[in-house]
Amino acid sequence: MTEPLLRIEGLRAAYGECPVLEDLAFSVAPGETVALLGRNGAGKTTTLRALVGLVPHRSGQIRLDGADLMPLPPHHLARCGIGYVPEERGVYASLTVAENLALPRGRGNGMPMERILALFPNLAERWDSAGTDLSGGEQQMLAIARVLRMGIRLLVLDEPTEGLAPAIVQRIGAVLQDLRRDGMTILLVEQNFRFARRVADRFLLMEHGRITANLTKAELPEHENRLSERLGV
Amino acid sequence: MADILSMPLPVLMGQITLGLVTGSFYALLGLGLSIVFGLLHVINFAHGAFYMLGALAAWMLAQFLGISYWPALLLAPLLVGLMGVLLEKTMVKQLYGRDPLYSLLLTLGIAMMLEYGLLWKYGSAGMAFAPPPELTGALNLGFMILPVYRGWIVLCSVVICLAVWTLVHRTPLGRQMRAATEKPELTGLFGINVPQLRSMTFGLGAALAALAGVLAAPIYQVSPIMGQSLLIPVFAVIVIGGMGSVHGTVLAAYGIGLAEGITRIVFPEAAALAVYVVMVAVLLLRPDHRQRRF
Repeated sequence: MTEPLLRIEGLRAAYGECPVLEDLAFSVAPGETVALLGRNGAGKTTTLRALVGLVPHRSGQIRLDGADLMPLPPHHLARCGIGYVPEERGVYASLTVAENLALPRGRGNGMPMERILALFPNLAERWDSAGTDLSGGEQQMLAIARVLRMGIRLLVLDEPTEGLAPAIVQRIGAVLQDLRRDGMTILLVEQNFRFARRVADRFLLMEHGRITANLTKAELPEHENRLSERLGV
Repeated sequence: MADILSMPLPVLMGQITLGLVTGSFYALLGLGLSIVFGLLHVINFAHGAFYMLGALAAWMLAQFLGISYWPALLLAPLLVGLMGVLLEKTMVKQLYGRDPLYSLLLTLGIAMMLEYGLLWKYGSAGMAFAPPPELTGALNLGFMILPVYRGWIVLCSVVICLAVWTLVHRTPLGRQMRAATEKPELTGLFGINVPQLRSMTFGLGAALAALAGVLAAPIYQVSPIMGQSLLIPVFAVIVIGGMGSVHGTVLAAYGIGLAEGITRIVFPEAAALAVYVVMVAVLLLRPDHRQRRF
């Protein structure tokens, strides 16, 4: 059996006194795309933020390729090969597209710029535009392109299609499929079930800070009703 | 205006030069305060003490080690910059994430300890620090007599301001500083060591203040409390320029310096008020202007 690239065990996280994640456990195999599904407030975004060290109160185990990530400061996580695209995209308003792409200091084997611009041709046209001048779709493309420059092994995406036009959602989906074919491991949080279904291999349902269902793509049809009920889709 | 037009050109130009010199000090000090506020959200009341330490370090290097002005111009900012890094790592960083009032009070306390500690040792009477021989005397430009050292201060300040602008806007380090100013949490996830960047920025701010102090040493007396009178107008300058904005701070510094110089001709008693009148007007008319990014 393949060793997982990412293994999370007994993860607890809280905002102040308020616990959000309770004994969370799941893993992601190399090259796999896993979608975290759940209603608002289920703890999906907190799971990603805890994974990249942005939740101060957390305990448990997070391992990437066997290495313990818990004691590492955020700037070391990037060097381990985790690329995180937050829900609000995190494009820097005061930096141009070129500067946003030049910012990361990852493992030194990032995706070549030619390939990035082939995946996201819009970025070449907006090269000198400030982050604030980009449309929502362009910002999402830039946010994904930026982490790909870091030489990542695990791409972590929070709601990559939120608020985007259908054509852009298609484009993002196509890019993720491309990355999958290249062997990239992807963990995404997604409210858009149709999109998740298109790109993911496995689906984790989160409720009240725990994983309550772990389904492969083949198992989806028989659990369709249950998922629809839990997700409100 | 009639007063200005009826004034002999050399006198008018002399006041403008004085205004530019004042603006040069405002710019050098304001830049440090501004970048520290932009990245660290620290209202650094120790900045005037760093300015004083720069002047005092230059004086001590000359007095005790026989080191002349030119090496001191590099050494004093370096020493004070390192001290700034140490202070950030040991004290200032403990208060990140809290209300800026905490760091304001901490840096005020640091300033008081430094200034009054040194006052006990050196007294309030200023100590003379001679400019280097090559920067003494005056140049006759035809329409005015320009004291060489004052011309040097303006030149040096303009070059440093351009260098800081280039650092912030045209280098990878500056890119990281701008990014960390905007989204510190996320910036760390791009492999950038934000705590180290903060220490370096605090050190850079301290070094810029110290550089202004070395430049000021030959024209003002070196005294432990020399930074106190300059600090409040410099805070006003960075509020006018937009806290955190490099070019806004520099433009405001020279603008206010010139306004002070020209007011000194028209209404000398009000010269020192010019900066505060503009600051109050900016705060009332454009309150959102007071905080900007680099």
